[in-house]
Amino acid sequence: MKKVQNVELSALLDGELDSQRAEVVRSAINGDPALREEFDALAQLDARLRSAAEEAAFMPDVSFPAAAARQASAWHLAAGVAVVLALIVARFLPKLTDLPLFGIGVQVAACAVVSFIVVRMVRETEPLAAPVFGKGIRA
Amino acid sequence: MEANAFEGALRPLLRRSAAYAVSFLRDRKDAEDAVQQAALQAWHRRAQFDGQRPFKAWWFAILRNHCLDELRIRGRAPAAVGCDDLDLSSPADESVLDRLALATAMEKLPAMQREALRLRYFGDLTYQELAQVLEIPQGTVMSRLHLARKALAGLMATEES
Repeated sequence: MKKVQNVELSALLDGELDSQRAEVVRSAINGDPALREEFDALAQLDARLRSAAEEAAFMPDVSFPAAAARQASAWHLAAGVAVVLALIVARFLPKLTDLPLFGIGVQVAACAVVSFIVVRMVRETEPLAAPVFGKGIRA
Repeated sequence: MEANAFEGALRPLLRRSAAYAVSFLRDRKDAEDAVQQAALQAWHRRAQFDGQRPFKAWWFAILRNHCLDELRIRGRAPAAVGCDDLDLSSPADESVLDRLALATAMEKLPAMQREALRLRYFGDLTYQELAQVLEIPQGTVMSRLHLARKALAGLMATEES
């Protein structure tokens, strides 16, 4: 029975054997001329394929819809600003303190909604120049 | 998956993705378009990505399906490369001829073997990643690659003789 399987020659070329098994396969190759011949042929082909793949590789010009990411960040920013403004209004406007709790709640909510809409509108009108990803990459 | 994480994961794979698409479509511009379209698909599906699995395998499965769809839509095999314009006395064209012989021989392989070689060399995928993209066990990946190499070496030897 052979010490190694022929498929392991490929696995050795691909660096997919653990170090112990790789050593066994290497010794088998060194001790068996037929196995050596097969391995050399595979190694030669491997080099040609690697070279062809490297030659075919290039950095493609890829871009993404920036609006999607900006939309998400606009929502986050708007929500954050709305909460902060609402808290400021609730804390510092003296008129509010005279109102019943429900009235304060309504004013705070209205303030939050308005500031949310304003921030969203500001973010939406920003230029679309910078894509999230790609930035016109080209080799 | 967050937008920035998606970008960070995909950016290092783009170069090999383009090589893989070229190996399919045989045209640099078509390959670039395919990578762009696949990247958009992946972008819109990024919420479905399972963070426990390798991103590379997930991405190459999307790119592979896109390239297969492209070929189906065209209803033809990848464009053949002509050799009439090659100057065989030039070392540069000798290299092109070598690539041409390799590409022609690869087209003669069974589809499953050809696909394993493309993903391994042009996509630079490991056995584990290949197994996930092709949905086969790693042992099958190993034997399929070995058979593909043996067959390709045989085809190349026949062409060269």
